[in-house]
Amino acid sequence: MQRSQEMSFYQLVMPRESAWAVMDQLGYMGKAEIVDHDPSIPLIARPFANYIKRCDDLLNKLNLLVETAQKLSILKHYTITTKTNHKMCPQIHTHQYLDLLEEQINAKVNSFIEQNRNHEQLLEQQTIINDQLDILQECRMYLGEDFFVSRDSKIDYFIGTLKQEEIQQFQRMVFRVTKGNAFVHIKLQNQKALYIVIFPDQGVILKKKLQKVQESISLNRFTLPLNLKEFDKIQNDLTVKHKEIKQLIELTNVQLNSSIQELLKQNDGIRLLDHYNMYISKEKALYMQLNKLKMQGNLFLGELWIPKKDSAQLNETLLLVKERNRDIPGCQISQKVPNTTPPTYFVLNEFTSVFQQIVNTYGIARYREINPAIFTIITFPFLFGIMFGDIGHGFCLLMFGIYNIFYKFEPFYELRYLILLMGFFSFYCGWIYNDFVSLSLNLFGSCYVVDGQMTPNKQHDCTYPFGLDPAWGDNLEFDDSFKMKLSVIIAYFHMFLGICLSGCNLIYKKDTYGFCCKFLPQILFLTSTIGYMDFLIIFKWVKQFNPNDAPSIINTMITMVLSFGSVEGPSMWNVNSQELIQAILIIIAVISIPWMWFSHIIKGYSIYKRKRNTIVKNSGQSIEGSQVIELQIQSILDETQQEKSLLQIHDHNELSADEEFTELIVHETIETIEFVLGVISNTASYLRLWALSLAHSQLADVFYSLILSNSITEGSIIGALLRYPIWALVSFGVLMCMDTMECFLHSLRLHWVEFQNKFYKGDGIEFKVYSL
Amino acid sequence: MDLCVFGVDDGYAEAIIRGLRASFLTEAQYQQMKNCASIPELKSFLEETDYQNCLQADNPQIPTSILRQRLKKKLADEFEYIEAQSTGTLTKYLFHLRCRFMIDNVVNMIEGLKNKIDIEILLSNIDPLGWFPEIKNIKVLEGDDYSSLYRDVLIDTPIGVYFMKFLEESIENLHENRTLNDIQNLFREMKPEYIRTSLKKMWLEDFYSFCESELMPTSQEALLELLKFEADFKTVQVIYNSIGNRDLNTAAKIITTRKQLCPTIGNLYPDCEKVYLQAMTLDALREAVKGCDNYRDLLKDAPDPLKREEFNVQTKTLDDIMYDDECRRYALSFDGQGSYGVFYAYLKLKEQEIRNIIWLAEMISRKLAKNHPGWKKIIIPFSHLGK
Repeated sequence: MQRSQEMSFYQLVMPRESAWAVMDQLGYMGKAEIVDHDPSIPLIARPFANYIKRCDDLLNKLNLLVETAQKLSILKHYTITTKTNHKMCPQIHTHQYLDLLEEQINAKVNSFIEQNRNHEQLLEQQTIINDQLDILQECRMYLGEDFFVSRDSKIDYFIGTLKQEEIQQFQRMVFRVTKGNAFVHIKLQNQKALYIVIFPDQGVILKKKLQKVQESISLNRFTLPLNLKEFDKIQNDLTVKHKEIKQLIELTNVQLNSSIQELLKQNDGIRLLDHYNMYISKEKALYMQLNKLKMQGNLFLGELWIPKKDSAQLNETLLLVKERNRDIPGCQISQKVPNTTPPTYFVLNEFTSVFQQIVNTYGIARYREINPAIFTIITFPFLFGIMFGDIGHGFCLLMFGIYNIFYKFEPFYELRYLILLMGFFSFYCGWIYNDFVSLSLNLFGSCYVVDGQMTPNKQHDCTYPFGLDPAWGDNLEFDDSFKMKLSVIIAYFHMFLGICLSGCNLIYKKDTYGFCCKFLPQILFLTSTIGYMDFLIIFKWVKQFNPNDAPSIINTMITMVLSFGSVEGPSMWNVNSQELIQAILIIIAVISIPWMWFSHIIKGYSIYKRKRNTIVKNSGQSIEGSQVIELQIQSILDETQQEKSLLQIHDHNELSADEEFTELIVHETIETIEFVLGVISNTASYLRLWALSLAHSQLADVFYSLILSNSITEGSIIGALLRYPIWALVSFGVLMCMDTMECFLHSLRLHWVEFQNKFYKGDGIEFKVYSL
Repeated sequence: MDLCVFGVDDGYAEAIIRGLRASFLTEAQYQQMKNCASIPELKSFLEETDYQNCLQADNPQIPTSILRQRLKKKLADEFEYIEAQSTGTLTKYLFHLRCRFMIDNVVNMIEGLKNKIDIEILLSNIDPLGWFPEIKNIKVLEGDDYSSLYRDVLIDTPIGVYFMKFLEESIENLHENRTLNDIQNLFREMKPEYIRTSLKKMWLEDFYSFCESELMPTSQEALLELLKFEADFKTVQVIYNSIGNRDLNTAAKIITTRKQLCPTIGNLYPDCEKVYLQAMTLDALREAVKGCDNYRDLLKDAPDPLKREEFNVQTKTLDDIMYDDECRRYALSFDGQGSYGVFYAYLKLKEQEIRNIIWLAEMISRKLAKNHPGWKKIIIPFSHLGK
């Protein structure tokens, strides 16, 4: 976890026949990353595009099946699991198994869809019959019994159903077509409208027109029976038919159900449907990987990354494939020198992954670079704790973290260990601050009596055992000074750690020059400025001063810088030695600036000069005529490829030697300025620790004093009970939710910017393991 | 000034359109499409693009007519979504845009019914962009009785206004003492294409005046420019197509028809009207429009309409030339900020894209050789900008 795993690069050559088997096993091994030989090729132009398409089609079909089944409410509480599981998937199969499955699935899905279509048709018929029954009923009611007995031949009728939203349109059309000579009766029923159009029988044209209107708008049209006898007959017929259809529907329902049950049958502990889904998703993933290989005639060329420690396993796996499939030619594997940077791979577990995630969001670590995640595990929650420090709130967060570990609470489940540690550290810092939702706890007996002034009430050497003495609880000035100094101290150590890590990286790269000329001046500069200030802070805490002539740290620092180490006013210790030390520190700080600035420039200059010389020599040589010919002959003899690449390098050098050097100067200058200014500004940035911690305690204080404290001091229990929920809600919303978020973000910033900019390059490529 | 407040109401809709810009096929993708050997291959290629979802349910051997329908449906869905997100003037504006498709649909329906094509087929072929609920009622049309069609069906549809104007105009043009028979005759002889052109002309004029009166200056500037060109193109097309048209046998008839069909807006109107109405050959038409911008250049390459019989697939027709020029203008307009032009341009460019895909699908399904000139006959949106 400290550095990326060492990766090895292999080339895999296999014939077409065994490609599937090899990739299958590699997928189950789940240790390697297959390199895409050319990411710019679209999927469709790749050799296995049609397989992927087939898999997609099958998955879609299964999805469709599940969806329709869910719509019919036969299949409840079922979600498709596409996540393939190692054990649940049959390991040994040939790729022909896909064909088999495809056939099975197609047959099943098609028969199911067919049944479903029947079902739908039946349902439709049922609604038509229902509609007809309804409208007959309505006609009888609306037109009256007499109507069927003595029918007026001068009036004609159209009946039917239509959609509710089309009623107006229908009415208007009828009105316009008949020029107002028709009456439309509408009755709303079951999301539909029944209509009866009554119009004078004035000839064929009108009737034909109306019929067209009716055809174009209505859902169903029916004819009105002429007399009561016919009416009853139709009604009876319909009721009988209705019953029949109902039975048929039930029958198809049973059929549909049984075919679904068949799919849900357990087989070796897996439901058939799951088995289908998993196998096909697996197959799709496999073909996706196969697509990354380069095809040359009948051979597949693949390149893969694998962690060095697992490379033995790779050989074993390939042997296994050979053993299992004796009838097909095996594959060959050879280690190669990679032509690209290896991917970065950290072995993670569920605890470390969330912290790695925090770092990865900023950038993937460069290959074999120190991984800041390992420090982030502690420093991140700790810095959060400093800002969020409160016994009560910290405890709540801690409990939430613990709860989340044992009982899954989905939205924060991934972050559970982070929350746990954040909770723990804010709980701990709360004890240090002695701050319990804005109140100070007096558990061990305060050493002071507060009576306008702080007077010690016990013997002289009384110390409060843990955290701040509760007597300081309301003293904002004390709090400020304490937290401010604390943040500066933490700033120094955090940045010190960052620079040390950059030193480690340099040592790992065996870059002694860099170590001497980058790491050393940087660490000296930091220590001689901020480090010295921290020393003064701690020194002043430890040593007892007379309040009237205690030296001010700020003044000491300012005069030290402005007047070369001299001390004005009271000194920390012996004036002479302090002045001497300060002068030395100033000299160190000033020297270290050009040290880190110019060292690389000088080195770059010497390289630049050497290059220039060789270039001049080369061109000098080529000017001599006879040698040119010789060179030409030689170049013909040489392998053309080599020559080309050499020439390219040459050209490249010639073009950019000057540019490279100027770029180096600019780069070094910027880096130095950034570092020197950064030491000051980043330290100032750490003051956010103080600011946020202060904001937290002050907010808690405000909520407490405005909402709760009145009723508590007055002793009214009812008042306190009534106000308590308000206080709790506000505390939860503002402090537990918003402030947590804020502290989290600031802690994130301190890590990404102030800490990681000292050493972290973060330009690596993530290792994406191929695993089935 | 209006740039400051454009985003208040229309910013979201504009942002969606700008996002949809990424869905246009690129030149490289067209190249790949040309390399497809069969329709299933083309379909699976399109499934890799933004058209993925609208094609998934179909079987691989998709007929081009269905393919067109699917692609159009997708465009219509996008457009509907934007319409739903719009407010105020923008809604009205977008609705105006849809009217053009409605006219097309209505005329197509009329044409189909006249040719006794089944209504279900007609309904399945209508352009989803121009769908409106009353469209299925066009079935009521009896013979050529357009006035009763208007009275019964189209009166309360969005395009009723245009239809009414059209009927009024065509009846007015008859001689003084007209009889019912005359009117019926008139309608019987009327070609659907004629109805379409005149309806569209009215729509264009109406849309123009809408843009002129209701839109903010920036949108106005962009749109009026586009519409002027569109009107000019229409004019040129009308004149061009009427040259050597056998149905219009007398010169007087040609001129009256032209006068009816040519929009009364644009750069050519009214200055060049007299000249172009009289133009009886391609050269005369060229002469008529020479005063305006680049029309002369456009017409320079146009084939002579009098030799229409000699046209083949290779001929770059006037329509192709104009589409090409329009496409360039729309692409430019699409990049304009804070104007409604972007919606118009999007619609037009997407239409062009669909036309391209369908064209290529046709080419593929006919298995034409790869060196056939037809492969080059697509106009790729935004391809003009790079040059």
